[in-house]
Amino acid sequence: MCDNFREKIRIVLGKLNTSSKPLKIFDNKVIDFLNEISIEVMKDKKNLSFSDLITFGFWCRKSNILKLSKNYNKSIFMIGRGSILHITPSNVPMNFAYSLSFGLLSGNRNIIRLPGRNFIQTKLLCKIISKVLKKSKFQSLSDKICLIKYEKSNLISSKLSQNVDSRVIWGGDETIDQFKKYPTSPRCIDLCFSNRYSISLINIKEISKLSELEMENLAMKFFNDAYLMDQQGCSSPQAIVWIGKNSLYKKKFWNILSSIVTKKYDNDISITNKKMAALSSAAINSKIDFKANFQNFKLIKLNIKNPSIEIEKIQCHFGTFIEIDIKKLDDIKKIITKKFQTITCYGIDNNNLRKIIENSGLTGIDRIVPIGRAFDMGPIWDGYDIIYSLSRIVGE
Amino acid sequence: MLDYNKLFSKNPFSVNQEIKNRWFFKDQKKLSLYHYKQCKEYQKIVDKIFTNLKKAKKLSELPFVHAKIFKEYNLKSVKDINLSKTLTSSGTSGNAASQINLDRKTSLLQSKTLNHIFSNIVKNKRSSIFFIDTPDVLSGPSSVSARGSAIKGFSQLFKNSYFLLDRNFNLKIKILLNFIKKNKGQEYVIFGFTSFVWKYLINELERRKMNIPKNNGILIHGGGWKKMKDQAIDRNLFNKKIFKNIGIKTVHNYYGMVEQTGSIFLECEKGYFHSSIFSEILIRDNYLKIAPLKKKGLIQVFSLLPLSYPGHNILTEDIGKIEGVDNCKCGRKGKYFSIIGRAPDTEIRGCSDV
Repeated sequence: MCDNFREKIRIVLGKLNTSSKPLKIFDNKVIDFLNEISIEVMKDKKNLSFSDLITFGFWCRKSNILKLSKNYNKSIFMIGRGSILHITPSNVPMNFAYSLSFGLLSGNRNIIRLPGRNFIQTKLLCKIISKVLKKSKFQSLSDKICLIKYEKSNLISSKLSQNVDSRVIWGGDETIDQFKKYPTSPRCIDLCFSNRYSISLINIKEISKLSELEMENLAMKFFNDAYLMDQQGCSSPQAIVWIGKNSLYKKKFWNILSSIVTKKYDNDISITNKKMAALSSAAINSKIDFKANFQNFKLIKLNIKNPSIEIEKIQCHFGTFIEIDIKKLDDIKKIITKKFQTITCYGIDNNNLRKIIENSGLTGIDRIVPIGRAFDMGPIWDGYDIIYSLSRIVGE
Repeated sequence: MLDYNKLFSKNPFSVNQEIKNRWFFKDQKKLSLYHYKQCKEYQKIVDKIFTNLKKAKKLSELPFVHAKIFKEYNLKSVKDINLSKTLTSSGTSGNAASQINLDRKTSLLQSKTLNHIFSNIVKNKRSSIFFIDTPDVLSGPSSVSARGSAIKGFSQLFKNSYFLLDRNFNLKIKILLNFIKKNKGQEYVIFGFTSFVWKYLINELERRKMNIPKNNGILIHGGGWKKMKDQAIDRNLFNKKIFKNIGIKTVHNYYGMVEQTGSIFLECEKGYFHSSIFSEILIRDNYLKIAPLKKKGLIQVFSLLPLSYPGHNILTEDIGKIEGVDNCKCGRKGKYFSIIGRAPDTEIRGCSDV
């Protein structure tokens, strides 16, 4: 009984049963390895059709990783904790690549459960990793990467959880709940990325200064944040909060966005079906009296009268946005809950937002970035520094 | 509330679309206003995602309930004390089941309508009916399955009724063979879920290498066609096998949501589904706009029967297209359509669900 769970695990790369010597964070070998992956990704033309793969390829280049490493104090001695189990989402093809990079950069051995679905870009990257790993200069890293696949199984997940020093669990809430039930070693550290809610915040006074072209640019960036993952990413904005009056500029923004969405967003019948199901359910479920505006089916606005913390419960996806007006930045606290992750902003002073978080004791808001950067991945996510958390600091 | 007696006095497939349009919209609007008053969930849907119900001027403007809502919420338009039973959908595909709250009046309307619609194809109701199902489908608590309910309704319409499957879904074909032998040339009916007919009747007879000679049976089947599509079994193949193994030429499929039991859409001899005077259909495109003739889209179905729950206007998850109006070669009037499949599960692209 006790060992046959291994038969149900498909090993894509590496060995499941091995030990490995922890490395210091940002080890040169790891940086070189990631850089070679970057080169391989960028040089093959067939990768070009996968923007997420290209984004990762660009992200893991040496100069970017060296830039990231500057955020870590070199006089503090930090080394990997040991081995990490990564549970990546079944539906985001490239998430595993970032998770692996963070695990390597923090000096650990990584067992990664790949997404259940067969994404071409996931497969392409696995091939590249395997190819680069075969080079003799990276042989010392080969015991640090094990990529696996298995059907949802309590037995396997619980066995894998037993002997690792850390687990990185990329949501949803149900998966996290499940994994918390499995026994782990007493010193095991869990980084859990649960379901979140994100919004955009726009200062009307500032967008009123934009030229037509600049406004289009901003709308295009918003479009990417919201629509690239069907508005289902944890950092995709679900609501637009406007600060200030002047409906003229609001209207202008919506009109430009509407024409971008009409041109660029492909809306199939399944989306139509799911969108209506979600909206109907939200209508019954939500305590808020919203009113849906169907002028453009690909861009549905839900108008509400008063800001409320209840908005976090309305997530209809596929281009459905709650619209809220507030008079001053401080009013934002009326909607923020623990669930809030990213605020994509335009014309907002980050310092002022930080002050509100501090002064009002807000338990939400883990990320403040300009509109257009909702999906920029980095070691700081959901309020953790992942590399920091996955390493062991030797105090002196 | 509506004049149902008038409907029962008419041939269900004899009304021209133009004439039907005159009263169908008015009746639907009356029903919508009734449910708006009686059901708070329906009221919320109407208020939050539709334009003013009172101002609606055509069928397409009336507020619908998405089929999924019946799986997530327990909707009712009457007080609990007036409910006689709760129907649950078969849930054969392993999905959550729909909950349908029935009072006596709606129940009665459903079986009367079913009877009325099937009179169109079954002439001799003093005959016998054979169910491709197990008697167990009728036992159970106060909440009954839609399968059981349909079978109950049918058995009331016929003089004799028999189950052709035992508790373990084994085929007891002797019952049917004996009947055919004793009643040569007589009309009778076989009724069952499409997938049951395929799996437990046709496949089993194939296995036993048994072919029943040509006879005057009528096969009525419906529901669960998604499974058949998955196995790539089309109407042609299905009907051919029915003839080969059971000797039956007359086969009618039907389409209907469990929420609209009774006012089913009957498949005609030409292979198209027909709306009756109790029902109506619209096709909506990717933008939720009404799709033109022969263009595929999401199926929206209307029924005049549901009084105890707001199932009178439903946006389904099925995809179909209207084939024509009033001019089907089978002679039936009104809209006729075909079903293409189910809206596929869209890939969820968020950061959740491992």
